[in-house]
Amino acid sequence: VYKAILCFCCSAAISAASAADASRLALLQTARSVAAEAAATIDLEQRGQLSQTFVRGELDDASDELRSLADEALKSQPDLARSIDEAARALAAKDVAMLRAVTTRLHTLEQRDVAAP
Amino acid sequence: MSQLLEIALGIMTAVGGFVEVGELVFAAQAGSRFGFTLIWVFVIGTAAIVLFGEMSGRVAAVAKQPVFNLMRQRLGFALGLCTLIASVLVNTITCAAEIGGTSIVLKLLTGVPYSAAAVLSTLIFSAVVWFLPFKWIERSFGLLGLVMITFAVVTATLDPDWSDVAKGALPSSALGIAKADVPSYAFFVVAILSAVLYPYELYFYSSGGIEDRWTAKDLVVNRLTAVIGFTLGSALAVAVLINAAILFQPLLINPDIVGTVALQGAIPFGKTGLLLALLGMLFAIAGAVIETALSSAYSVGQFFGWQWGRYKPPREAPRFTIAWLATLAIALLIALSGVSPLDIVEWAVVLSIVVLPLTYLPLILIANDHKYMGKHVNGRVTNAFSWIFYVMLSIAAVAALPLYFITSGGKL
Repeated sequence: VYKAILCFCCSAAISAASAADASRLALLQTARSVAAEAAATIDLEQRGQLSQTFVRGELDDASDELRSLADEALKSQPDLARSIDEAARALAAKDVAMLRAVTTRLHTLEQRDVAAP
Repeated sequence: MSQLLEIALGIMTAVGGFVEVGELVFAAQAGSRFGFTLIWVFVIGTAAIVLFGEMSGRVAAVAKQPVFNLMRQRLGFALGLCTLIASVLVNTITCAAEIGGTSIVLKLLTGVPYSAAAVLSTLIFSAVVWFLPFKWIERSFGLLGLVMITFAVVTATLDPDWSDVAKGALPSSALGIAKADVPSYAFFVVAILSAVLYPYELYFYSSGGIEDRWTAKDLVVNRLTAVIGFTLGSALAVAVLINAAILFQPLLINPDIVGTVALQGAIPFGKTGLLLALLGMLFAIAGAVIETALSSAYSVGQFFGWQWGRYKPPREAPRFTIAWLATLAIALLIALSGVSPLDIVEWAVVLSIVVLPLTYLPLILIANDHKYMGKHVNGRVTNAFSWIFYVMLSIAAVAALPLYFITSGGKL
């Protein structure tokens, strides 16, 4: 049973590694979610529903995540890198409208990639 | 009266101590990604943990045998040792994920940097396990974890369409999943099963029964704790899923950061809701840190026949004490290694399910052995369900790693 599991894992790992589209989709999904989380956090903060400590912690993490995603995207997906970079700047400026616009754009790209054969 | 109090405390402890970081993350992600359609996995997983939990408590009370004693007897030394190594590895990774979760929540509550929070909290956990008696450790974190009820209050306030929730509790809800989403959906099925049935829960529960010196007279306490406590505990995880489906899915959020789950309290109740959600998460996850560290030490101590248990002072069980201290220290190093806490959670969940079939097999065998259990052997219905769940877990164990790689941890 364990040999079978091992073989199955290896073949799955090889097929996963060869699928470049998969990493693009994962990147898109993570960036979209982080931007959406940041927009929701800033929106709630502006309505006085969150503590400053929480907001600082959440946005610091989101900012770090967006920066590392942008670096990763720069290697092979320059079009994505631009959008992620835009999200990072909107986060720094606490611009909820811009963050939501980038979120929607990333989500549209994501759905287009999923629908592509 | 004291028996009733004991039962009530046992149930409350089980409720508050049930949820941990893997369940929180996967329940929230499942809800935000697939709506209510994965609730049925929690239903099946809960039925399985109730059944196996009750069985392990019964074996501990009647046969006085903890899980790893049984493993060595039933699987033999070589296979038993392989299971031990895998279990300790999984427990340590799980412990690291829980330390990561605790540190993130502490950072969001106090502003202390992640690394400092990880070191500070691990020192506090070491002191708690060293100085407090077992019952206090078990009860204090379990009861404080009841603050997690905040998430159920949020669900009640959101007032979801309960007929949709009920539909999600049936496996038929999986039929509506788009073809492209099937691999990720399957990964979430496996991950949720694993998070509900973490092996450490069984090691801790059965070893706890022996620490508490359970006898056949405690079988009622065991049954009620397992059935009511685990079911209500799992209901809190389902509440997190429902809240995520209602609050996060329309905003396109898949919670990648543990702290995001706490927004569920803030959206309807503002700062008070946020504070209660964070405190509930902190106590629940902190309890899991201690349970995973002790579970590693229980496993090793029981397998090699050392003196083990927190009912003995640390000096009387030195190797056992070193084992849980070492688990905490290694887990802290993993948490500080720079690997994302979410990645550690995913690895803990995926690796756990691979170990599960080996954990449950000796338990089922001994629970059916008249020589150990006398009249308290499994009944026909219990046996039928235990084998059905066992086959289900074995299939999930085989599928776990391939699904993880194919879907990049459920991201595709």
